[in-house]
Amino acid sequence: MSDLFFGLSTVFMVAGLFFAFASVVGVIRFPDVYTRLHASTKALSGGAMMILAGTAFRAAAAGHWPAMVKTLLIAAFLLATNPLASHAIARACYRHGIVPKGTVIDEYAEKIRGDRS
Amino acid sequence: MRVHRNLQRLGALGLSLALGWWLWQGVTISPFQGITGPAARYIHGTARDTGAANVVAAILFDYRGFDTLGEASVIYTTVCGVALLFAKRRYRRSSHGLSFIVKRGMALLVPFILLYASSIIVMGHLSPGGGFQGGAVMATVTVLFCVIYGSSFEAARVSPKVKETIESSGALLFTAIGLIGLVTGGAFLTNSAAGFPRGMMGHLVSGGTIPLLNIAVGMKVGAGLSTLFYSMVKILEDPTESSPPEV
Repeated sequence: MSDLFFGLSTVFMVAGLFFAFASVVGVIRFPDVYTRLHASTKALSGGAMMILAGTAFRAAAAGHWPAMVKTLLIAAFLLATNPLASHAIARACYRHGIVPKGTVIDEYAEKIRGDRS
Repeated sequence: MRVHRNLQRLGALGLSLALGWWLWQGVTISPFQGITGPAARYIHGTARDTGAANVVAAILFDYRGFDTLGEASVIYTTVCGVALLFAKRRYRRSSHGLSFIVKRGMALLVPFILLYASSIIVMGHLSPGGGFQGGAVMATVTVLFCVIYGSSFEAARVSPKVKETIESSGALLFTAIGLIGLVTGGAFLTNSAAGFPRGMMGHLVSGGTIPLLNIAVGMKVGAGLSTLFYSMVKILEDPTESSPPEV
């Protein structure tokens, strides 16, 4: 059982490293703030949470159940806060007047205009 | 130009490698390697002298308790000064805050943030943390309230008067605990020599005055920092700003 947990933790950690690396590449290569935000949230939602899940499995493999529960609580906190933060950033950027690159139809702008008039 | 670019990249690579090596050294270093002088004395004597499991808390609130009173007074003075400077200028209206999603999500999280801050303060003598850290975490709730819901919401939830009272009573509690040492014939802020129970190391009731001083400093720092932020942020709002649409 503990061997299985250990192997699972390694798989999760490697996947998390991949997500972190991919999000770094995305932040450097993507053209505008929204796509970069999309990439950077993956560092937390994908990378950090997978690494935390790997840590939790490793703690379970070693028999440290309190450490496992604490790690999972941290992951739940990240899951709750990361979308809120990126949503607030993206909304603030849009309201500041930054138009997404290559926009053809902007229904959000029409909605705001409709609300104002 | 191209050479310049490549040089920059080389520099960045070198910096990354150096930082990585430094981090690796920190991971692999042995914890008790070559500790001498006062540090060794503190590490070996803390459990016997104070009964606290956290050496840093023991140094902060027992060996150097008087310095900590000074540090806390610095925060107190800062808060008084800032509140005095920004007292005159008040706008009636506050900002409207962020969108519905953020407001709802934060409402679910704020109780847990407060719980976490209290646990940092109460467990200050057992685990990393203490009054200063827990108080700072508690003050982030004020920052969140001011940014997400607008500062009038913050003032309506916790009135500034109550915060000032909490801060002053924290300072009074700290000084009163120090005076107990004087009453029993010891020095100011005497810990176990003044009759405070040392307890079992690692239990919640241990370390004599250290948990009590942690709570006092937590009250002081938490209320103080939130007063500081609130009195500075309430003048930054634009009273002519109109309400944004709820989308």
